[in-house]
Amino acid sequence: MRWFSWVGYALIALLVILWDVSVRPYIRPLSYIEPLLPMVTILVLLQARPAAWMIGLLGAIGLDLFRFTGFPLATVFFCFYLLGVQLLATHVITSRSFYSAFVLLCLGRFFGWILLYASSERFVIWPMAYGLSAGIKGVGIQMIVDGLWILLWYSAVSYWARRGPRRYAQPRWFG
Amino acid sequence: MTNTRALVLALGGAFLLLSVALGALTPAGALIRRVTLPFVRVSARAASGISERLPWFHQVSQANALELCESRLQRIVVDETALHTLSQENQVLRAEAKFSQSSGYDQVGALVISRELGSLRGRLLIDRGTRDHLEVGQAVITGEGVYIGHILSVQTQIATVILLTDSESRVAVATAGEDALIGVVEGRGNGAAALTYIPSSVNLNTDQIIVTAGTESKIPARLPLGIINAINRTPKDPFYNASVDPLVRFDRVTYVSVLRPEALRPGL
Repeated sequence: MRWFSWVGYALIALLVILWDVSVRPYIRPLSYIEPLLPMVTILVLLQARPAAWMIGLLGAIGLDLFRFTGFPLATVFFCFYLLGVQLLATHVITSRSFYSAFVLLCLGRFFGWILLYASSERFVIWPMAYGLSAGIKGVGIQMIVDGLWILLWYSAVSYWARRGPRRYAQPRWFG
Repeated sequence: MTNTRALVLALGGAFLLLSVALGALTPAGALIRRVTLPFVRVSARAASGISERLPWFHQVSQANALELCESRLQRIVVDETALHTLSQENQVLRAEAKFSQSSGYDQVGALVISRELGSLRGRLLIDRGTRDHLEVGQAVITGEGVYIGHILSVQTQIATVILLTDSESRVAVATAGEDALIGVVEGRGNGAAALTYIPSSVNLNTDQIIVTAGTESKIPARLPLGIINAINRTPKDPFYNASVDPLVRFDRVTYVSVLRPEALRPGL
């Protein structure tokens, strides 16, 4: 069962890599749709930690392998992001709501954007920074899309919590 | 127990990051890339095909672009007629002089598997690398022979192309038909470029085609790259600038060719 899960995680990470590397850059309206960060945020918040770490790290390593510059900054960013969210979810945040996930995700995007401009490479979490780099309109679109992503993953994990073999925390809107 | 587990996780994470930073996982990375690359090729082809079939995804106004192209086409047709005559004369003269037709370069075809066309950046990722004897600095052209940029970095199976509109791109240029260096084309981002350091003694006109000067070691001369759009000139300055429109739309580029010196061709 565990081996099957790992293959599933690897396949999800592969889909994310394909989307981020070779679909988003070609079709402009899709460039705001970045699935990896919302997915790992929800998974950590709902205490599906193996899935979060496997998908997050495999996805980040894959992105780094197809980035324009050499240093593995996406992997480094995801390591710290996952660690930070996990610590917050364990010791600080008691809520597992949509609201908590959305705030964490917005913070993650913001830190990624800071790194983007602080780094001499300018490509810290490529290709995840379209929205925040495109001005206020881009930020708005990115936030709406991120909200929809969180809803989608919440629904998926909620379904899995009811039907699947693992017991994840049940999602809520607030509180 | 929890503390021990956290310590093990932290040490494992630190070890992973250190290994990645030191390049110890490079072979594993190459293996993952080799497995992933065929899927990336397929999805890049599919996304590019969808993008071309859906014209409302492109930002430039179609009417304005058409009007500009028509006016340029009229001038280029006149030039082309004159060039055709010159080309025929050139063939006769070359045959008489037994001049070698080889340019010293061969072409390596590559698929664009990703791209970044942002406010400052203009870069492509192609599915060829050191395995195909690509090197940093080699010129990249489209199927029509238009220069679009050069290789910025190269790995085993992939390479990064810096486009001439990238803010870090510089290439020496000349006017078509003349070999003298007239300035440097600098990228301005957002699909724009500028021709700078033009001596005031050089007279340029709008709609004049500019080509590579061939002063860089791996970029051959006379590759067309852009057309003069506007000239910014003040009488007292020793140099002036001009804005340059690239000859190709980079958001439509799917296949490119890398010009590789013939000495690097496999089997030689």
